[in-house]
Amino acid sequence: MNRRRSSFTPIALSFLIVCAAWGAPPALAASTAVVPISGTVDGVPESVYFSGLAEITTTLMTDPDLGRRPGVMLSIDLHNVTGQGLATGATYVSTAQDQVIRRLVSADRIEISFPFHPSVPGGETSARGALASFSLTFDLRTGEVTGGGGTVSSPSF
Amino acid sequence: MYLSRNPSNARLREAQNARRNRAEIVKALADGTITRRDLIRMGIFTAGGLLALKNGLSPFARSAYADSNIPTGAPPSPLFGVQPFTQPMYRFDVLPRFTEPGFLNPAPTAEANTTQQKLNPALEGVRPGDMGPIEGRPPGPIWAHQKFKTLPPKTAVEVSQAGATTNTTYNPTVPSSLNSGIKPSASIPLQFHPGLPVQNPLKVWTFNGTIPPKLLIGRYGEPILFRHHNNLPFDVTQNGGFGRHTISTHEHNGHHGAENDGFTGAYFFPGQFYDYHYPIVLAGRNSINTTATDPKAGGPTDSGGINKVPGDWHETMSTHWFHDHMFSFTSQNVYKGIAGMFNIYSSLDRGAEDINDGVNLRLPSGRASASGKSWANLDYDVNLMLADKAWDAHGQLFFDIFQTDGFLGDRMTVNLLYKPFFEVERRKYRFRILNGAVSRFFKIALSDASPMIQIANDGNLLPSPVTLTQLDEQGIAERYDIVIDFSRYSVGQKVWMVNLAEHDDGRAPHKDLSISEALSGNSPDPCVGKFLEFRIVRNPAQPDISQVPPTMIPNPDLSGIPVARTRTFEFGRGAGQPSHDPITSMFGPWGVKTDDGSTLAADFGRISAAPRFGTREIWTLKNGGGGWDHPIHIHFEEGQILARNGSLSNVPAAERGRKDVYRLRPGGSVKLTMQFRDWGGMFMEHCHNTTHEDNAMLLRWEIDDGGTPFLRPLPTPIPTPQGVRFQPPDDILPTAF
Repeated sequence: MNRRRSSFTPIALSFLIVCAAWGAPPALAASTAVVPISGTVDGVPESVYFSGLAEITTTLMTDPDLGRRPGVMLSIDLHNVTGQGLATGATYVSTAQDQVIRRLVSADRIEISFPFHPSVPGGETSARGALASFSLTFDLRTGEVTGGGGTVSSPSF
Repeated sequence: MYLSRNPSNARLREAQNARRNRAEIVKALADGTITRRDLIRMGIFTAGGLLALKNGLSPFARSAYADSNIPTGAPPSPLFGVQPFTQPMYRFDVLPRFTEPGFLNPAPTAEANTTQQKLNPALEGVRPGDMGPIEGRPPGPIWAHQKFKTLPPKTAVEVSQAGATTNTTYNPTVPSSLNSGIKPSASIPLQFHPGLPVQNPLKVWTFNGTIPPKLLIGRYGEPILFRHHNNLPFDVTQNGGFGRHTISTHEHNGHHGAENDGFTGAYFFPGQFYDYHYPIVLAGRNSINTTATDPKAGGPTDSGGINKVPGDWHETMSTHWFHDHMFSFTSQNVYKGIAGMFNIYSSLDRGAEDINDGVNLRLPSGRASASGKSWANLDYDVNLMLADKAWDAHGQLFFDIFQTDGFLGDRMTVNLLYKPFFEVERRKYRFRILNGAVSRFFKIALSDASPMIQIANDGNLLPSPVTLTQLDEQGIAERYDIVIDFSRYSVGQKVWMVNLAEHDDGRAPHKDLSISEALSGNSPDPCVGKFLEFRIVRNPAQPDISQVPPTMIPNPDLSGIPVARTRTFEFGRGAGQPSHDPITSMFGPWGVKTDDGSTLAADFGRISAAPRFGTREIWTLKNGGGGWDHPIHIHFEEGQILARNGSLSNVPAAERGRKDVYRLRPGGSVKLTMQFRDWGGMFMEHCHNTTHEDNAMLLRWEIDDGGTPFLRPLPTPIPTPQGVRFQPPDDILPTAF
């Protein structure tokens, strides 16, 4: 936890909020935010610097039955976050698309792991793991992301 | 199911008293002395189904919320000084297979064997001198094994349901070097850890009464006759406080006739057996590849070849499980241990990584050339059954039905062992992970965030492998097959499987933690964090030649098949129960609304849907509430998810294969398509949070127009020890047919 606090650097926000109303029932309201993210993953065969835009779709989860505090489901897509090998200049990609459930609070620090690999045929066989850490603020009424940024780092548990 | 980590002594006493008092009611309910309706009349359940906050029954009644926001049904399960990762993980116990005909006595029959036997008067409703059939399967042509003459059993497997006992015949089919050094000749008492008490035979009921859990091995083209004896106590009150001695075994998710599906109302009694006929055929066998010429549609032969079978190879299945489905008691019985796994082998998924014939996908398993087995090598193909359990102050298994939101245990088990370790070599392994919990969802990662490759979902190999560092949430009964490559580690290193999904009740995960949060030890949920330790112990003796090919099993293309019907099913609370049939109906807070009708509690005498034989339909499953999740299981047919919340883009890559359990997610919906082929009879659809299922979130659907012997509609079986009688359906929903 300390490591994450020390390594996190707030990034100037550049938000594109897209609200989409799904056509099919139930009429869940989802919103999508594009969050800038960057950082370096150390390791072998080379360290990789990632940058790009993470797409975070949030869906508000309410609990009308028992009045539990609302939650939010986040779908985090890193397709548009690419890496460059610091030694070779090779391109690295991630196909990560993860869903996580969190309690809805005004500000949350959310960390997911994600795989990445060289952008070459068969590159998946040499996939490695990295961390994407987001510091996000939320609209407590709608569950929409209202601000934040992210960093990429190496797992060091 | 758990208190805060440091409860006061007063709170512990209060919770202990509450547990003892509730246990008496649980036992009375399990015994049949009282019903859920009685509990509501007594004010013990509320109309919504929740436990009333009565002093002496609910540990929350006075002070729990002051202590912690974490609900509990009991004090923490004592560990008796046991530390995690101090016992080896037993691999599954492979069930012996015998050649049929010739092994089973009496020989299996197409229609139920109604030979009469003298009944034990300890059975409910039995008087001294009463007689009843030796087989509990409903009699007559409707419940006869379909295609029994054309697909006669070639292999027999015989099991019994029995109370906990010591295993003296353990057979993992792998050398001890690949089983963490465990000697198969060792006796295995039924205990969650050598340092924990041996389980009472009334507390734990498993297949053959033993651990490890049992593994059934099968292959396409080789029908199995699974003879299941019920050797549970005759006296329904001899259940250790929970569980019902009548059982019905669901082969999840077999493409078999309904008489072999483990219909919830086709249960059988102690002293009886039930013959389940698993033909192991590919779906579409009547219309696709009918001449069996495609080598991709087949099963492995003993000589390394392929036994070609009719049907669509795109429907090949791999990882099943089997478990009890007793009406209204599934959660208790499965929790007691009535669950096993079933690996099905095919020409594509051979279980022999060195057979290179252009068809075999060569997934991690083991070498035929080393073992002499041309299929079903388990050397590097490992079944994992995950389940949270709880036990009482004496270390005996404990269950609490009053958690109608869902029951949570506070101790993680793998293969019914408390937090074990497993030794691995520096190479690729396949793990077939089953969520065998009652209500708990898991979200799995490796402790160092290393990649895993998901190759199958719900027993179906995916069109393409999906590389992940944390899997999607895994709902109850879902199976995720993954490949982990341990060659990235050095000998002597350790890595752990970690659960990231934190629950504070049985409704759904409260939140998904990051790996660092889960490893921090700060979660109030004791089942978060490390639960299985991998010890990398050596290099493989032979190079790892297994593969994870970029293309595995593409989905069957249904685009050219007309959609005969669309149906909607909404899963929610506040169900009504128009039926008063004491056998077929149950009462509970949960129910299903079909095609925008009323939300109805379960009645296995009610027909909610009846797709036409040979057609394709589109079903939409909706979650009626935002604070719950429901893993919905549709029996018999594999479906493809067309959309989540209205869009295909919401369907993750690992869900884009075929499935049989559909997590709705809070407030969410899933649109899927299925075909209804090859077999007929009555099947089910239900929430696989088995607490929800047992509290009425279940419906019956049927295929009854496939020609004789079926009737339209089908009569409902009513089992008794003296024999099964039939009655007309209680109800047929207006949109069913």
